[in-house]
Amino acid sequence: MILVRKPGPTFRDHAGDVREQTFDRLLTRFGPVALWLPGVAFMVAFFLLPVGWIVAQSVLDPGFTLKFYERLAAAPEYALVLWISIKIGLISTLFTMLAAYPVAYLLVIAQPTARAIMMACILLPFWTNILVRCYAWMLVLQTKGLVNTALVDWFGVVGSPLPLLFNLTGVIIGMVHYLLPIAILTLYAGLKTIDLRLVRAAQGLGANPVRAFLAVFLPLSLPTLRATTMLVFVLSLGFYVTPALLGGRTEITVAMLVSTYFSDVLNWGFGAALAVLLLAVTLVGLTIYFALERNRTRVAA
Amino acid sequence: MTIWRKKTWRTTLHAGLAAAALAATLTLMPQHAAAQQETIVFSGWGGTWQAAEKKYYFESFEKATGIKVIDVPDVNLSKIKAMVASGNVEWDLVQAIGMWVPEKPATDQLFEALDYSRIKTDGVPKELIRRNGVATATFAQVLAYNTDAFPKGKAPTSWTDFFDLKKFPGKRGFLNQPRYALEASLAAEGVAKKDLYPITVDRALKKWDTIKNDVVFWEQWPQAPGLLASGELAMTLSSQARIGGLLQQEKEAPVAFIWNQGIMTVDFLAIPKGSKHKEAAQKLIAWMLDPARQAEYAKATAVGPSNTKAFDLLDEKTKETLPSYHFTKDELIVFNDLWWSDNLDPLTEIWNKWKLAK
Amino acid sequence: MSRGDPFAATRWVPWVLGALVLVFLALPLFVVIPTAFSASSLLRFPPRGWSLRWFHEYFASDPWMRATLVSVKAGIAVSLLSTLLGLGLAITFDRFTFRGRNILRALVMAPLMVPVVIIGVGLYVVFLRVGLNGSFLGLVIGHTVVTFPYATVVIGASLAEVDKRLEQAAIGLGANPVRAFSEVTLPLIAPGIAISALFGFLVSFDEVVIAIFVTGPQTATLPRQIWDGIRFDLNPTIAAVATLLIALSAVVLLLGEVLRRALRRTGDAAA
Repeated sequence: MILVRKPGPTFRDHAGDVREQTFDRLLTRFGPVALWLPGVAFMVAFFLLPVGWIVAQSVLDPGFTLKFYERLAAAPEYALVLWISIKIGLISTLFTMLAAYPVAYLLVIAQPTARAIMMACILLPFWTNILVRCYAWMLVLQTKGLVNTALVDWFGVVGSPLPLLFNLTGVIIGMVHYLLPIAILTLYAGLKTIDLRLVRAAQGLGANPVRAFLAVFLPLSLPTLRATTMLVFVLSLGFYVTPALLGGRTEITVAMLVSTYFSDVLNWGFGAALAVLLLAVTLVGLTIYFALERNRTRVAA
Repeated sequence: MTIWRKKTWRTTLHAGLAAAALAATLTLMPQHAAAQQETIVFSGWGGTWQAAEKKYYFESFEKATGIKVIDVPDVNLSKIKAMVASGNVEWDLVQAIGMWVPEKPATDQLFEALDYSRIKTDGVPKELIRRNGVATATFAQVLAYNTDAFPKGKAPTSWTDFFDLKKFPGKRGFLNQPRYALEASLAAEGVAKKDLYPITVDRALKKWDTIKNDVVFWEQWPQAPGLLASGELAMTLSSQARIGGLLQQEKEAPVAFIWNQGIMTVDFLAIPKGSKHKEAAQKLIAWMLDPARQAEYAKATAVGPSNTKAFDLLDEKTKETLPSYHFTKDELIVFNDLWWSDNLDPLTEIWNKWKLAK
Repeated sequence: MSRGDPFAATRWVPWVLGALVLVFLALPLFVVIPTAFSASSLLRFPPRGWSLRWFHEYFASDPWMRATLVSVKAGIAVSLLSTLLGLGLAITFDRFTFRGRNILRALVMAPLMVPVVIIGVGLYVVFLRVGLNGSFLGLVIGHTVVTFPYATVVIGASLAEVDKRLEQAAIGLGANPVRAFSEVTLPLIAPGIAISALFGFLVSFDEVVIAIFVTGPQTATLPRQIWDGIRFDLNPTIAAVATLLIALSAVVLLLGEVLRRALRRTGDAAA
């Protein structure tokens, strides 16, 4: 891997003692390596190695075999399950981002006290374990649950209870609830870095608040928006507890199948093959996404 | 500039050292004293059943033999397979479901063959003694129903009623797995117990097609009693011990179950292959098969004993609550875990295919 | 600007949206918190009867207390480690180009795409071979595997928003790269670093599947404790735990607010 410094003014060494010079030379030589080596080494040792071993099981039985992949290709159900996983992922990501952006924006412009209160509310779901949350949603969404009782009995908004559980709606609600805090905080991290003076400058120049937001803030926030959307989508593909507990007969995701084949059926070969399928599709998608992004930045610069 | 640079370098160095020290302190756990006595690790299902196992089996075992039993509540076949594959076996005795210890050569790779010259098994039915495991407890998966929906006189009496949406309207619930589902639907069709296996999958699934859109396939056992009690489900599969447990805590809960056509499953005690304490584990197995201790355990948990001699020590009222008792009355369908261990893999695929079909 | 401002109405739009979202986030808690105080042993709503016994069970129980301690310690360690790793990777992706950069970026996200059970089993097998199974270090490593991608993305997002010319200007003025970075860019990406540290802690604190595989009886985490309980029984102790954590986080945030105001006052006095 050859690291090439992006073009820009370089450091010029003027006065300074020998110690400084060696420090600078060491820095230029080993600086970059020190940045990526720990992360990459960690990944190789504790991710690629263990997962690689498992992935190897998808072609070993114990000798080399393609039977697991043949099985995967033979039944159209697996393509359908992959499609269902991606569909659920896309819908969850859409709703999550729609809800997260306004809240992240509020966090940026709010006064410290209000921000602290909002932070507390956003972090609340984290204190409840995913299982507890799913069971709570069951109690909230069932036919005689909190929401339906409110809608039907208390406010009389609807005539009969809404089917909110054990179907796609339930899954999306559960997933969005889990993804929202992550999306809000990731967006906030990036949005907070934006220089608000630019927005105020636009207003000073005569733009109304809406125009200033749309013309200045929103475009500046695009890199963060893209990164967060990618993160949320990737996460949504890995869910299996939420679709399993809140979904219906037809909400089956690849992650759920992997879990079943790994833990119940103990067919590690096939489970690994399913995981490889999901991983391959996502990796390809992500690589393309990153490649497109890079081109976009280059054009903009 | 030189002064500044020295300062930042030093500050960074200090910060780095502080972070490293913090990380190191956090990583060091207090050492616990080395065990002088022999210790074996038992892995089971946790919860009140395992707490009772500790009370009625492990504590007395330690008193009698001096061998300490550490029990962990997370028995998991994946972990066992991984342990055996790596050569570092952490668990010495596990409570396995029947499907994990079928009498096949493959089982020898995961579990040790038991030495029955060291384990007394009189009282345990022959079918429950296997090469790699011996039965310890029996459970029944039964039809449970909401008593508000179906009060006395209108209650369901068999799986046929489960599949009859006209006479017994309301949402159904079932475990999201092919096992038990296929037995239930074939029983609903009127197939006799002795003709159930090998299961005619097509016929079983066709019966499920008739109620396909009114079933909630729940993922975890604890979901069922709650959904039933709240009225979300009118009828559901559930384990008899859970419904009994719910009624013990909440006497007015609107739930009940029927023993008829309940599906009986058996848990086995097995030793993972490569355990370093095989002798001690076998001693514990023998200890857990004792009729008197099994009787105490059954009384406390409503989990059926595997040693029939335990029945002689129980009164009628307690016996009524136990699956193995109802088995002797021929009310239950015996789950054929050997057939299932052969077919679980292909059936999982067929089941998912069926679920996805509109 | 404010008198007769036709857009005054739109100012509250984000606030209403925000409020709705926050209510949505809190909704399950309206169920969880009352359940913690219910006398019944089943997760039912509304609860039947009131009792504090689940709180007693939590505090009286050795395993629960130990699990809480382990979770907190592990959370902090994971937070530190993943932020450090993520920082290095994020800077690399932001500043340097090289062959295979996009593939590496995708690979860094891979731990979030591979089903967790596979990571759990894989780590378990590796740990068994090197003796890390059931150890605290193993737990920290296992959790960092799934948290450092967050750190990379979050810090990366922050870095992407920073105007590179600021740092280049500093270098042009004679600063070496490290100084330019630490004095100019680092303060600007402080939100990113803080959030990634927060994620590291929260994700580790909530993670259950890897914990099931790599922890032993001495290093069981809180979610593992909850999982073991839930597998068998729906015990409201877990609701009590959740309620306690919520209360704790509220207290911490309150203290933070008090501290911030106090510091500001002294800051103003000093200035």
